[in-house]
Amino acid sequence: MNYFVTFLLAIVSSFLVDNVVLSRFYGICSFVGVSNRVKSAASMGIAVTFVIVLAALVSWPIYVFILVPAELTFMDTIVYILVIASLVQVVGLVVKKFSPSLYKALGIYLPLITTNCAVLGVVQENTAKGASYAYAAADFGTAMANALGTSVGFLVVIVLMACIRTRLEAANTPKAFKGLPIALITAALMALAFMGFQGIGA
Amino acid sequence: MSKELAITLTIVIIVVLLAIFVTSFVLYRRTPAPKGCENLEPSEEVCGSCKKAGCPIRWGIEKSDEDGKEEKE
Repeated sequence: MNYFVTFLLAIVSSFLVDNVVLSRFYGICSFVGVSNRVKSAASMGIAVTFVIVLAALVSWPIYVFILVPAELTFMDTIVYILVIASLVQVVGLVVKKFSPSLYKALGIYLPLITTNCAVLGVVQENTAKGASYAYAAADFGTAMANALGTSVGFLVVIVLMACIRTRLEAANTPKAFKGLPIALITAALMALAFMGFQGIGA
Repeated sequence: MSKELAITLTIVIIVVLLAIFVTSFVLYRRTPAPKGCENLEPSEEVCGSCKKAGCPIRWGIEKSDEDGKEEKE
C-alpha cells in the first residue's frame, strides 16, 4: 500500500510540482509551436506521452543491466539517443500497419518527437540519480512514475495552452503582441501559476 | 575491466544500436502507407504557427509556398 501511495505521489510530483514544460523548461519548441489548436495539441501530447513512457521502459533496463555492470555509464547519452530514434521508428511502423486513422493524424510528425528534448530529458533524469542494480525494483517504479507523470504533465499543459490561445485569438490583442509574443507571455504566466505547487509534499 | 575490453564493448554496443536503428528505419520506409494516407502533407493548421527553423517539414512547406508563388508569376 505504501509503495502504491509513493508511486502515485511521484506521478503527481512530476506532473504538477516539477512540470516538464513550466518548471524544467523542456519541450518548449513543440509546446509553443503546436499549441495553436486544441485538437493538434492533444494529438501531439498523446504522441509524446506514448514515446516518453516507452523510452523510459526500454532505456532504464539498458542502463542498469548493461551500462552499469560494464562500467560504461559515460555512454548513456548516445545510447539513449539511438534507443529513442529506433523506438520512434518502430512506433511509426506499428501505427502505419495497424492504425491508419492515427497515422493520418500523426504519422508525419512522429519523427519530430525524436528531437523533443523532453523525451531525452526524462530518460536522463531516471538514471542521473544513481539507479543501481541492487535496488532495481524500487528505482524502476520511480523511473516509470517519473515518465508517466512527466508525460501527462506535458499533455495537460499543452492542451491548457491551446485552450488559452484559442481564447486569445478572439481577444483584442495589440498588433505587436499577436501570435508568438502573447503566447510567450501566456507561457510565463502559466509558469508563475505552477510555481504555486512548489512545496507540496515538503 | 581492462581499457581494451571497455573500448571493444563500447564499439559493439554502438554498432548493435546503430544496426537496430538502421533496420527499423528501413522497415519503416518499406512499409506501405495505409489507404488514403499515401500523399500526406503537413497541415497549415498544425505547422502554420511553428517557428522552428530546423524542421524539415517546415522546409517542405516553405518550398511549396515558393513554388506556388513562382507558378503565379
